[in-house]
Formats: sequence, structure tokens, C-alpha cells
Amino acid sequence: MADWKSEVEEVVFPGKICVPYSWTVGSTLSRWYVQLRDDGEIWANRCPSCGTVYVPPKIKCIKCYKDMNDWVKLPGTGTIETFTVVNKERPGLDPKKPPFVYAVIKMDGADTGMVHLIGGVEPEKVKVGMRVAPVLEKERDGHITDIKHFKPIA
Amino acid sequence: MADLKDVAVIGVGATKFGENFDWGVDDMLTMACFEAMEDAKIEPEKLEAGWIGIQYPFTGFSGATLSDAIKTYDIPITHTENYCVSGLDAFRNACLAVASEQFDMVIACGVEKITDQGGRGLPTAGFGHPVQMSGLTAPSAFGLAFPRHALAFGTTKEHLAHVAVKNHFNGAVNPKAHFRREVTLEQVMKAPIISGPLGLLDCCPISDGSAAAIITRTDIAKKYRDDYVTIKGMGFAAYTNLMMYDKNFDYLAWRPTVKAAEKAYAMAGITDPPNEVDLAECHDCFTITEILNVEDLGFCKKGDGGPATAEGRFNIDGQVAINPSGGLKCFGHPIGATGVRMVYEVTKQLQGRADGRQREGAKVGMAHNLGGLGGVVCGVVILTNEK
Ligand SMILES: [Zn+2]
Repeated sequence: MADWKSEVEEVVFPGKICVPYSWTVGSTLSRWYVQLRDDGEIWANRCPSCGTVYVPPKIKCIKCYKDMNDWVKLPGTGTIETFTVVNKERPGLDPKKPPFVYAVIKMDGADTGMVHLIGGVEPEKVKVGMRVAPVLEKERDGHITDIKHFKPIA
Repeated sequence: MADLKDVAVIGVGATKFGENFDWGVDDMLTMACFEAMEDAKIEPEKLEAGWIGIQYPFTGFSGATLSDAIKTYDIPITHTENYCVSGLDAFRNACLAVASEQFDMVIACGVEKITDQGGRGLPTAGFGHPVQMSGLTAPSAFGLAFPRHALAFGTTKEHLAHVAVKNHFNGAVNPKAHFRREVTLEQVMKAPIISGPLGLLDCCPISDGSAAAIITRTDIAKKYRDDYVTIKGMGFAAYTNLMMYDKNFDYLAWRPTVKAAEKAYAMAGITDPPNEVDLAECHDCFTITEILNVEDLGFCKKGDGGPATAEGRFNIDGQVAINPSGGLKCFGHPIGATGVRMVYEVTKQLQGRADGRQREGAKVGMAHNLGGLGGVVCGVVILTNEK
């Protein structure tokens, strides 16, 4: 089959798609985003049974499957658990121009890790265990990027 | 009812993997499936059911993707989707159906057509959680494992590079591999960084391809060939898309690999993997992925994956041959096809038909397939030629 193009001209169909889409964040994350957008605060919710604190919040505890209506305000600071420096650009898809740092941040007062960007520091200086605090956008619209990035603190 | 250990593979087929711009989905499925049927010496009319692994919607929907290609109208065909394990899950379901004695002769296949889909790399739009995994690509999600492994065990970027060098060495002689060339340690170390510490040569390529296997019971297999291979162990596990929500997640192991392997080893009666498994096709989408996997599969101690690879313990003539085909890294990774392609390679190895890359005296081989950003689902299938 490899040499079929010697016998007939290959016809290629040039397709084009544009795919704007919307995605409801649901009951629990809506509460979280409204707090972030309107008050610039990062909240978490706590399992009434095992006490695990989730951020971003979940409807039910992944261990106990209990509803979590117990909300706690977090200080916003946290510690970098691990990270990667993105160097290859994906035009139109990246949140900012590479190189930039994605990290998993263990938020103070919570038990779970949260994925976000690290800014205000040279990528090569980022380390596991580094303490960070959030930098918020002034104009916020209820999106994960309302937190611009987390920056290192002393 | 028969047992999973009464299930046999009597034929395998695969296309060349790579940027197959000349071939559509139908072309590749036809090539792989008919090669498998010719290998098994059966006609399509013999097939009673089929399973097809595909991950991406642009490759195809439903079982009709297979029947449209090979014209097996009216038999039941199921499309399996389970991230990168879509293909091995097609194989698993086919094996379970044969073990149940609902069917005597079935086909499991996988296909993916990723070039020409309009995006760059693996498509991630609309893929994964919009908040928790926001924007992470596959190299970023797997790259997160490195800083923790380096801190805990002293793993270096050079250790990662040894995985690429080994797998390219094996794949360079494989006529169906995406890349047919070796790479040096220096080339891997100096390649442009994609998502730190993973450079271009730490990442498997974007490939098109298809693979297929013909599956039956051992009592029927004997009528077709003497060198059929049988299932010795099988285990599957799904963990979570949101491992950051797991307080105990530490980035040092792929939990679904650990759990799937436990089940497969228990079924196979294997207690000392490095001395009881001759070869493994082990999921190496990125070099760091293989380092954690060989530890999680028990082929070396936790933390020893880097040094063990660098010392040559996983070379084709080492203690366990890891990725004699070249692996995802060199052979290529058309997502839905990969798991079945692993079965293809293990079967060839156990039949002594892996030209130029044969693991001498192979009796027990493993297909290990991991899927999802950061290790979400996993399948382990152990095959043997011992009757
Ligand atoms: Zn709980």
C-alpha cells in the first residue's frame, strides 16, 4: 500500500473547526469562584467525618463520601510540593509565554495539592519546599486565572 | 466456564508506526487486522466478536469503526476508551469474553490517527479537569514526578537519558518502529527542553498506527498452531484523575501500576518478578514514567530505577529486557493502538519471531500499559509460551 501515490494523485480535504465551549463548574466550585472573584479570598471545604480539607473544594469527601458544607477561609499561602518548567510553546493554548512554571502547591490549612503557576521568580530558582503566596488579578471574572500566579515569599 | 489461563493468542499484526500521512484509519486497521488473521490462518468469517481501542473522537466512534474497515458486519463490536490503556483494555475484554465461553474466536485491535487532526501534540482542549489540572500537558504532568524522585532517591536527568538510549538502541532494528535510529546520551541530555526536566528526546513521539490480535481458547488454538501463547496473569486498576486530592499521593510511584501488577502477579503466581519475567513492554511515554514503572513492577527496588537502567540491568540481554521493541519512546505511541502493539511484541518474542531484537530463551513476557495524566489507569497482562 505504501506506493499507491505513484498510481493516483492523493486528494487531501482541508478541514477547519472552531470550537468555543462552556463548562459549568457546578454548585460547589461556583461558591468558591464567587468568593475568589468578589472578595479575592481562597476558601476550602472540610469533611465532617475525617476532617480532610479540600482546595479547590469538592462536593463530597473522596474517602468518606460525606457532603462537605463546612467552609474554611485559607490564608492563601502554601508550599511547593513539586513543579515543572514549561519551555515549549503551544500557541493559543498556554496561559502565558514559556518558559513558565507549573507547580503543585500544598495550601496552608488544607490537605490537598493545587495546580497553579509560579511567577515573580526565575524558573531555574524554583525549588521543592519553597513558600509561596497568591497574586490576584485586579479585574476578576470567576476563573482559575483570577489568581495570576503564586510568588515566592520569605 | 473456562479460565483466563485457558485464553490463547494465535495471531498478531501491526502497521508501521509513525507519521503515516498516506494512510487513513481504515487503511491502518485493515493492514493490522488482516495481518493478524493471516498470522492466525483464519478468515474474517471466523470472527464472532471484536473490541477496538481508540482514545480520540477524531479517530473514530463505536464498534463500526472496525466493521467499516474489515467488513465483519453484524457481529458485536465494542469500542473501549481508557486513556492510553484503551488498546490493552480492548484486549482484556476480548480475553474475558473468550474465558466466559460466549465466543470461541474474537479480535482485539486498536488504532489512532493523530497526525492531521489539526492540533499540536496531544490535544488537551476539553481534556481533564478545568480547575485542578488546568492547562497541564502530558509532559508537564509527568515531569512533576521528577523533582520528588530526585530529592528522595538522587535520580538525575542522566538516569532519564539512559532510558531513551536503551529504547532507541532496541527500536533501531525494528522495521515497524516510528524511529529507526539510535540516540546518544549526549543528544538526549542536550535536546531542547519541553517541560523540565523532560527534553524532546525524553518524550515519545506523536504517532499513527494500528495493531491487532486474534484470541481463542487453548483447546481451539492447538488446531491452528503449536506456538500459541497463553494468558498467565492479568490485572487492571483505575485510580483517580485528581491525584492531588489524595493526601497520600507522593509522586514517587504510579499507584495504578502497583495495584494492577499486584493482581497480575497473584494470578500468575509470580513472587520474584526480575527472576520470573524475561521481558516487559513497559509504558515509557516519558523517560521518567519508565523509571517509576520498573520500580512499581518490582523489577528493582523503589528508588533504584535510574541506576539499574544506567547499569544495563534492563538492556535486551540484561536481567529483564525492558521495551525490546523500542517502547513508546522509539516504536511510537498511537494511543489506542499501543496496548495491543505491546501484546504483538510480547507474542513475537515468546514465539522466537522478534527478528534482530529477540530476547533469547524468553518464556514469560509482560505488557504494561499506563494511562492518564500522572498515572490514572493501568493494565498488566502477563503472557507465556509454557504449556
Ligand atoms: Zn472524609
